[in-house]
Amino acid sequence: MEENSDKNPGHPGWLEITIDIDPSAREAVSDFLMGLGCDGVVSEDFENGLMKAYLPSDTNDPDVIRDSLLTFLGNLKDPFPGIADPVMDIKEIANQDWGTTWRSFFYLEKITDNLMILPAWEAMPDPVKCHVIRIDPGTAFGTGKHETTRMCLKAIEDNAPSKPWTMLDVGTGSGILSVYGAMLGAQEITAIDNDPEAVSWAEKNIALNDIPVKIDLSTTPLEEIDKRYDIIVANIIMNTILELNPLFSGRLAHDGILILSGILTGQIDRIVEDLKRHGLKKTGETIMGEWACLIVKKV
Amino acid sequence: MAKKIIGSVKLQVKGGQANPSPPIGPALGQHGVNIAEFCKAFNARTQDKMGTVIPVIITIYADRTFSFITKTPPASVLLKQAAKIAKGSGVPNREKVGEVTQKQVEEIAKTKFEDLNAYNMAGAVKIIEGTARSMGLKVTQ
Repeated sequence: MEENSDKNPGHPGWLEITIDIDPSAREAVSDFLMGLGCDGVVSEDFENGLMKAYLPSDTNDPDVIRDSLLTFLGNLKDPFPGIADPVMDIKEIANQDWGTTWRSFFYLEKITDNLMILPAWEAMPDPVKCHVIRIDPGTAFGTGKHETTRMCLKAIEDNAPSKPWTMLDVGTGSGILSVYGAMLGAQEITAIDNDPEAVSWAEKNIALNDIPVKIDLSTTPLEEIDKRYDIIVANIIMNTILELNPLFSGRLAHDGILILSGILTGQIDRIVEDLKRHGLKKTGETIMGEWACLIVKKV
Repeated sequence: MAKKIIGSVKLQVKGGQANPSPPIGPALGQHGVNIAEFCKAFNARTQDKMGTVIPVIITIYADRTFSFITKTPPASVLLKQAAKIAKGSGVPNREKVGEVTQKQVEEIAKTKFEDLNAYNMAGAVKIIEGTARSMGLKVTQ
């Protein structure tokens, strides 16, 4: 298995800044690090003050960053009298494929009565009496194990028409929902995602599974899709759903089903109210943990 | 039976903007957490605070699932809001960029008390005062 390999050999790598500081001064140091351009700060030991932050190494000179931090840390004894001397280290590290290190903890799992998910790097089990999706989500969302993906897979399974049908997968991520749609008999599938990296992973996952139809996969925005589909599935997040709600109705077949997830239970009412404004109504919902999946039809 | 916890990570990242790059990637990847799933959940929960720094504590279980809680913005963010400034001073001992009142400091100490390493409110106020001064803010009465 390829683990922790360099995801992008062209990436310049990172400056990893480690600071051991009295916990009382941690907020001040965090703010300074964010001011330097760090995207975030991590503490793994709450009782002590060890913190880490990162900067891209191509646009930041380690000596300049070191001088700047030493000056700042040296002055902290004034606002925080009595603290121990902070310790600081900066080292250059290569960019790594952090997004896939979790894969060694991803196992075969039954998702619904009719579906199992198998990591791409594991052997197919003995003959099974259900669908099996091979998946390598890479850094894209959708192993099948997350509550929202589980609910969407079940909703597609429950609502797949018996007649020939079509499907639109908005925010396809790993492509898992499209692959299952194909296994359940969709004759035509369009899968879109605004993240080219997700599209690339989806392409690999479609190739991993022996499915009978071609999935039209791209970064095409929903606005530019001009067909109508029997099932539209969008497992994204609330704000994006609110942006896309005006577009769903025009792409949904007369008696089509819209499956929406990525919604927290506390966000359901806001989504439902917005759907009404666009000629859509909720006809069903599933809840798992803090997440919801809505079944929506045209009014 | 409660799930076995194998680790906890505290992060400060911008609301709605979590991605697998550092610091999230190395911090969670080493524990086997599915980073795309964390980013989706965090961005969903913080999309109304897009761009605001949000402290988050992630608990990681033996089966590599996780849960997390988000906290109120860091004291430094609250201090900048109170002083109406965008950025602290890089050289706080020489350059002052604004001021906050003692009352504002005490309010922030109350808001952040449970997140601070302080035994009592007086200790929390001292930490907030120190944070303010380290950012180049003068604390006035």
